[in-house]
Order: sequence, then structure tokens, then C-alpha cells
Amino acid sequence: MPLLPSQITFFASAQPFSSGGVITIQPVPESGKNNLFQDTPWQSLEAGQVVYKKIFLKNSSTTVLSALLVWLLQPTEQEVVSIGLGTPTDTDGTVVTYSNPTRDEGFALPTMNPGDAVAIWLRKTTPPNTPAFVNNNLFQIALTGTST
Amino acid sequence: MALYGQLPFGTFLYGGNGSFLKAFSFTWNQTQPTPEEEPMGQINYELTLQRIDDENNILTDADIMASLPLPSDIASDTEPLIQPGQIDQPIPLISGYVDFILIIPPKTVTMTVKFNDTGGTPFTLRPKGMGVLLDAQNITGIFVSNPSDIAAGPRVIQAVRQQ
Repeated sequence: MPLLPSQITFFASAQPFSSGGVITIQPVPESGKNNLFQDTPWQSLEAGQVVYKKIFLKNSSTTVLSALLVWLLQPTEQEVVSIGLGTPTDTDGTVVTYSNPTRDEGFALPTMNPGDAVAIWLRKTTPPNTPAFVNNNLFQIALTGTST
Repeated sequence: MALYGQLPFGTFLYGGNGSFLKAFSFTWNQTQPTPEEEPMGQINYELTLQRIDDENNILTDADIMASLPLPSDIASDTEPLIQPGQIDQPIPLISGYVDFILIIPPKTVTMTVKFNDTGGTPFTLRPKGMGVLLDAQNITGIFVSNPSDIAAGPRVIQAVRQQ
């Protein structure tokens, strides 16, 4: 059975602003402004800021997803997003190990059976003295794999 | 699937052999400072205090109005940035004997503030909500907590009355 795009989706975590905890039934929109990250406070551009988000990638299909690799297309403005694996219930994004996988490396995710969900932490870093944004900041997660 | 650049919104590629690629896009911007949030080089205040009685009636000017000239060298106006999740961040007092403290809530998030020590009852600072004005002569500390997930800060005005 062909895999449909709506069968691979992100869901928010239970803590306020999807900042950790267990999975919820609230989907994370796949595009649109502020669909996960709120606007960076202008004061933080100078002072610097780190924001943690926990989201769950869910396999809602009837197939097994394997050979899963994630890579990041970094924000178009001068912020950095890193990715790490969480647990179904963890609440502290500061203790997670993060990386910045590119298309050439990829970040391996475990095989996902139908109905499985994988916890993913995203860490958005605003370095001190970041210039004012010229446009909306855009960050992308790409996911590849095989559906069988 | 040798795609290296930015991916179009909603990208989903599915091959006959079961391989697939899906892209998720996240967009945000920065907040913009309002004119009153621009850094101030010189501070000069004249606060007018007005008091209400137990039935919320504003007492007459003749009863309680007082204007307090506050020269810039003994007043401060800051907007300390409190990192998300930070609890009981101390705000430095400008003097060991501050006459007035005015705390204006941040514009985007709800925070709390405690006075003297971290064990007291917190005042809640809601966006567009009420600020806190204190006759602060017995205040020895200000502690602000930011339970939200974005950095923000209240506006803190401190003044020492000119002797």
C-alpha cells in the first residue's frame, strides 16, 4: 500500500509550548509561521537565547518505516537548530545529546512499526549579537526512509 | 534523492520501491521593539502617585497627590531579559534604600515577581495586566520567574527620592 504524506506527521509534547513530556494528540502543522517556534524576542538577538522543543514523529501508516534518516536545512537567518533523540516521557531538553546532521551524514532514527512514535528534541540557538532578521526565518527537517 | 538546497513546502516524494522523502518546514520571525522599548540614554522621571480608599474611590488631589522629582542619577529604568524557565532571577537594586519600585508586566508572556526573598507570595505579571508599584523602603530584593519558553522581561523602574 502506498505511503501517504499524511501518515508521517509530527505531534506536540504535553508541556507548554511543546517543551517536553509525553506525546499529545495535537499535530504540529507542517508549514506556516510559528508552527513550532515562536518569534525570537528582539532582546534575545543581542543577548542570545536557547529554546528547546520536543516533538514526536509518528508513523500512522500500516507499513513499517525503516532506514530512516533525518537531516536539517538550517535556518535562513543566523540561528542554529540541532536535533537529538528523546524518550517517550523525558522533560528536560538540556541533557539531550544534539547534532546537526546534513544531507551527507543523516541522523538515524529507529525503525518504526505502524503506530510507533519517536521523540525528537530540537534545540534552537540564537547566538549573541545576532543581526536583525531580514525575512522570516525558515528551518526544515527532511526525512528519508523506506516503507514496506 | 540528491536534494541539497531548500525544499519546497509540502515536499513528499514516494518511489515505487517504497523509498520516500518528506520535508517539514518551520517558520518564525523576531519580535519588533516598540518605541518605548528603545534603549534610553538618559532617565528623568516625575511620578505622580494617586491613592484609592477601601471602596476604590480615588482620593482627591488635595488629599494625597504628590509629585516626586526623580533626578536621573538616582533612578533606573531597565528591562532585564529573563531566560525561559528561569526561576527567581534576582534583579539588582540600585541602592540599599530604594523609595519606589514600579514593575510593568512584559508584553508577551506571564511572569511572576517576589520581593525580599524567594519564599514569599508571588505577584503575577500578565501581559496587558496590572503592574506593581511599591513604596519600597523596606524592599531588599526582587526576584522574577519566567515559566514561559521564550526569553522576556518586565520593565523595572527604581527610584530614590531626592533628599
